[in-house]
Amino acid sequence: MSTVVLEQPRLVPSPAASVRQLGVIEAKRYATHPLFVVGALMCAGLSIGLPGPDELDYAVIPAFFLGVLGLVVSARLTRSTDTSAPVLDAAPVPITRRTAALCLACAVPAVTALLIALLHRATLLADPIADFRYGTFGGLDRQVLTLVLPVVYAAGGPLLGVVVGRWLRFPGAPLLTVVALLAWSATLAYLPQSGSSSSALLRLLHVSAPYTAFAFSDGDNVHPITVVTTMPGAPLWFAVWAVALCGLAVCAALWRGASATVRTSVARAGLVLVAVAAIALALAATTGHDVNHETDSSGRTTVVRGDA
Amino acid sequence: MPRAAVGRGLRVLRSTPWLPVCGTSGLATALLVGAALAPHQPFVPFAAVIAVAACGGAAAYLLDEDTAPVLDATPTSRGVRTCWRLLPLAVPVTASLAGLAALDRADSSGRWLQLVPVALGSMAAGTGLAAALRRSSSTPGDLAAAVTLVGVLLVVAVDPLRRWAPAVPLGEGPGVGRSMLMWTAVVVVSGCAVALFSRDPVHH
Repeated sequence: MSTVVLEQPRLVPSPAASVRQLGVIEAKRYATHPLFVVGALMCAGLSIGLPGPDELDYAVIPAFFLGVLGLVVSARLTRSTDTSAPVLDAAPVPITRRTAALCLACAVPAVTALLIALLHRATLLADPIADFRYGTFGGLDRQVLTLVLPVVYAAGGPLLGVVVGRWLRFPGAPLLTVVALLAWSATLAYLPQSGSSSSALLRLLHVSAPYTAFAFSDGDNVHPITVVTTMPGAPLWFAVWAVALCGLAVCAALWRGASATVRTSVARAGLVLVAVAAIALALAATTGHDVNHETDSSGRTTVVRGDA
Repeated sequence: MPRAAVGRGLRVLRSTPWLPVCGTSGLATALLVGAALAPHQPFVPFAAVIAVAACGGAAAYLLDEDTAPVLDATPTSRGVRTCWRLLPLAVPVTASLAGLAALDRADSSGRWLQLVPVALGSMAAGTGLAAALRRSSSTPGDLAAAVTLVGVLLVVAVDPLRRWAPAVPLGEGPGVGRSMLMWTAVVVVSGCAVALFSRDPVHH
């Protein structure tokens, strides 16, 4: 007489569980991509005590190494399954769930950016910089500029990469997107530097870029910083605007190939995010300083009147 | 040159990925022309460097061949195909030269034409990297373009040899000449890399 042991019937995982499982797989693929590894190492290297940009511009390092490179990484990961599309399309996992998993994998650069930003803060705690280097920004704005925005940039680039991978099928799409993004940000980020920052339109344009600067200084690689100029705009509302853009990127990625039901939900979420983005953009431009403020090494702040 | 060879060459040219090459070069020109329209705005140096790096990215797509394994088995050698493939390099070269000339005309005090060696070095680096990566992939453009773009921007931002030769040779001083020399060396080394990696693969 023999005993037959039957395996417990395996239940089909719920949509949320399957997204989680796929997300873990995509996160592993992301974390082991050579471009991400190189970018993360360089980002960490430039964040530990080495001469870098002004403290308030620190976010440019994670934005560049984890955001810009992340856009290319996630676009490549998204497109990498194209050759297996006939097989994948036959599997009982819709494209929406695969896209959601790719979006979840963007937590990898975000968490990496958070850890590196904390490491950077730790090095600054050990060797603090003069208070005037923070311009006129208070405690909350400083945290937003040096901790929140690096994480948002590091997640935003890869999320845009998923959108590029899903929607733009021609060769060179990631490069064109990166160049357009860099051009957009470089053109608008330092717009108030010229002194005509009292114009409302310029203030709006300044904070409408996906990456923007809130301060600049007179120092460079050779000369020490003696004056820090705080530019107009509210970092907190700008962070909300940037997070809303990330949300819109997720919606755009999920829209591709989604069923009618999913599209209805995505459209609703997208409309809410558009409203949030518009309000945050308006508040980022109208709250905060109207004009540039210069803070010198003695801590004295003077208002710089623009020519507009 | 025999007519048949020219015909073959033109067919090689036809398979160039024109969209990324012309699209990125067009964006770079637009950026430089935009900078020329407002030459005293603070974004102009950033725009110029991004445009120059973008041209390097565009050049990295020139050696993309979807069907390289099949083409390697044809009598048209990889070296000949590479020679024909390098002709469209004229697109990013013209784009960067025209844009920098427009910018220099708008603001002659900026000496923007001194960025020409950086542009040429960036494009040479993109092509050289793509040639090296062609050993492992028949379409190395995407990766080579991203690495070139980020690499050039990184070199300019960090400026590792600034005491001896600044990465961006703008202005005056002895460093400018050395910087141009450095970028010329990048062009020469990249040219050697293209020649070295364009030999037909040997199958044992």
